[in-house]
Amino acid sequence: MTVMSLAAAAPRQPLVVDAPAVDPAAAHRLMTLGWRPGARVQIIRRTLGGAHIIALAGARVAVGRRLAKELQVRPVSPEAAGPVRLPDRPVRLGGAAA
Amino acid sequence: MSLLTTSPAKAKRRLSLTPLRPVPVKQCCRQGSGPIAAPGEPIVALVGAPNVGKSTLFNALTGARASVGNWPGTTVEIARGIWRFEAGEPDSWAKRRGGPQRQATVIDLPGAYSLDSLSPDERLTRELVVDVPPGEGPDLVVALVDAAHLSRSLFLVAQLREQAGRLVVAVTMTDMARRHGIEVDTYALAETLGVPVVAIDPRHRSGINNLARVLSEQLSQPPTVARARQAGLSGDDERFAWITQAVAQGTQESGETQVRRSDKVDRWILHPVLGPIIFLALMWAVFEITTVVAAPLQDGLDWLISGPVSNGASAALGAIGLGGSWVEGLVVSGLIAGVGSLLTFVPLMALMFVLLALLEDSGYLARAAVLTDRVMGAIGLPGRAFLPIVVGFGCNVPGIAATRTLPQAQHRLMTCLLIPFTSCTARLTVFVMLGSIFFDRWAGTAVFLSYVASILLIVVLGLLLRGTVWRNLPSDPLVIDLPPYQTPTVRLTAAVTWVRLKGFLQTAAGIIVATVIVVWLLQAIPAGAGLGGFGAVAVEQSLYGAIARGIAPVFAGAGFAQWQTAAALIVGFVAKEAVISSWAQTYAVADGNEVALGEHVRLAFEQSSGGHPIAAVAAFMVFFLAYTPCVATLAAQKREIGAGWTCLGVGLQLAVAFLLAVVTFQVGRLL
Repeated sequence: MTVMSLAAAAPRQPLVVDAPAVDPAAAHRLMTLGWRPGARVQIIRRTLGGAHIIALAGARVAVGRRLAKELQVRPVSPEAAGPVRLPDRPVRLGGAAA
Repeated sequence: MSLLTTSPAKAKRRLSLTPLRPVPVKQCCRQGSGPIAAPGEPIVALVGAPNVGKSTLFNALTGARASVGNWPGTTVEIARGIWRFEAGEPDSWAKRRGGPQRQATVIDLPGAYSLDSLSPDERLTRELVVDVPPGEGPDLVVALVDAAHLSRSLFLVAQLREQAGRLVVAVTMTDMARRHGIEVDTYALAETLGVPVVAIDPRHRSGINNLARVLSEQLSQPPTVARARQAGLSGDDERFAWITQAVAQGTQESGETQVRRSDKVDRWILHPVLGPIIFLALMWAVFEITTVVAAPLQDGLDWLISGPVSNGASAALGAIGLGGSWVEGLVVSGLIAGVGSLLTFVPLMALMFVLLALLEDSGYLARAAVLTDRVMGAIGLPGRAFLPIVVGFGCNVPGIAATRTLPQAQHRLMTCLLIPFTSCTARLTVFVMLGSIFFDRWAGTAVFLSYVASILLIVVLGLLLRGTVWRNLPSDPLVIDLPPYQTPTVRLTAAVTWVRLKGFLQTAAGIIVATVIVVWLLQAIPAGAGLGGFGAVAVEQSLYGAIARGIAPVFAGAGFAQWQTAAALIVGFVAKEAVISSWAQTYAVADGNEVALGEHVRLAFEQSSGGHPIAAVAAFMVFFLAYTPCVATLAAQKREIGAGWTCLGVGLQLAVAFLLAVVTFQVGRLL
């Protein structure tokens, strides 16, 4: 599937996280909120200021306009989408924790 | 504070127990405020993601009143309290120490999603729970996890279980999870996690007794040793695998996709067009309510204090032969007038705190941070900086304390410098008074415009600072967790309001009483020989009058060069709440007739402005908005950003205030 930025995706389009964020602080914050490669994500809506409200790990997270352009996602077919869940197997992140 | 800033040798010396230090306090318990249990009693630390219910649980266990709210970053100070519990099993920890009723110190730590966090608050959690020497950490850690978002809550638990020590998991938000089609099986979860799991609802105080029983039991058990990681896997790999397994075994999902109630509300609240309109309408409503509803309450208290209380005090002093003496002046014109003025504004401040608490607890303020992110981004600040700034509109002092939730030091510094320009409730009291004197039925709108001016000031100054001092300000992209909407509870709203009101009064009361006494003293001391004795001098001829007359001409260009107005501004530098009492004192002493304070103030502005009182009062309100809020704010700034930046901030406030006041008056009188 084609990798694209979160900002380029359509609302309600089923997506899967392709990579952690580039910015270390944002990557860490997003990781703790469930942004991990393989995790399901969906844009719920965009605000006037360009913030993206996304469904991630069963919660709602607001992501800024600039960051949304940097975040890499891949579209998945609606049939394969299902509910937003954690990946079935462990995945390796770019940054080390603790 | 921690070993991170102390050499190992020094740390060792500090920890050595000698007969001279028989009652050491554990390192994890040295910070924060609140009572602690007797030395040797256990310490229980509450950890978890922001907004998961730690402070509410802390309050339930200790009976304390830590600040709580439905948005990230509510806990910015470490709260401590004493939890009293019944001893459990015959061989329990408590029983071995000799009695059925025991106590423990509970510490409420700031919100943390993990132990390797970047913000100071989150780093603090790691320092006090993990990076402490053996024996200096808490005896038991309670990790609160959100049942509706279990997978991300468990990352912190995964890191905690790798540390040695007792760990209990408390699952909150189970009702929310159920609405999302998720059922949490605490028994299965406990089996997978390898630690006790208890479901609780701190908001409604259910499950607290069960948790207390489990904590008591765990304290009777020896602490566990650190768990080793599996070979060949990175720390995160292993944690995610463990989380996946725990979520799969500990929860059951219906699989149905629900359109959440919060999503439905967000369709309107975060709508590209309606969202900002609703935001502005809500802010306007908050300030309109505070002016309309609080006014009769203020009038009633004012009547009570300036009438029966003052008359009663005068009569009592007269009965003991002190009528007409300087003692009566100090008590009636100083203490009762000053403290009374502060008390009359308690309803106004309480109302503002109730409204802010409702906005917080409902979950709206997190959305407001999203809506304002673009504006904040324009001045180089993250959306999260909106939160301390909003708190600043209630009171600048906690607003500055709340900047600790910002990860970047430069963002914290810039936000600390901008918060004094937020129009706090203490300024509101003066704006309401001036609005009712000069703007009649447009008073509410005038007060609202003062808030708009405050916001504009923050944006313009932020842009100026970013374009000059902080050209290379690092960006901090918006990532904010949106809590589900919830119906605010009366108990929680009342508790939050009371905590803030009490804190405000505690901070302000001493300063205000001292200020009023100093003002009275300056009014009592003659400015020269032959002008009268102590306590018997006309205000114009007192030291206070002399100082104010010396300063007043500076404000000629702004249209308020009356010495009484200048004197009120001097007092306002110390505490804005004391400005009205200063006016009341000055005019009451100087005139002595029964003309209302409002008429005095109106006359003063008419005379000093050359017939342009509206332009002059607008200039005064602008100056009042922009200059230094109070000494308590300066104390908070000094604590956060140091004396140097605080002094620079005062210079900036005075320069901006003066410049804008002159421009406002000069332009206003031409209209």
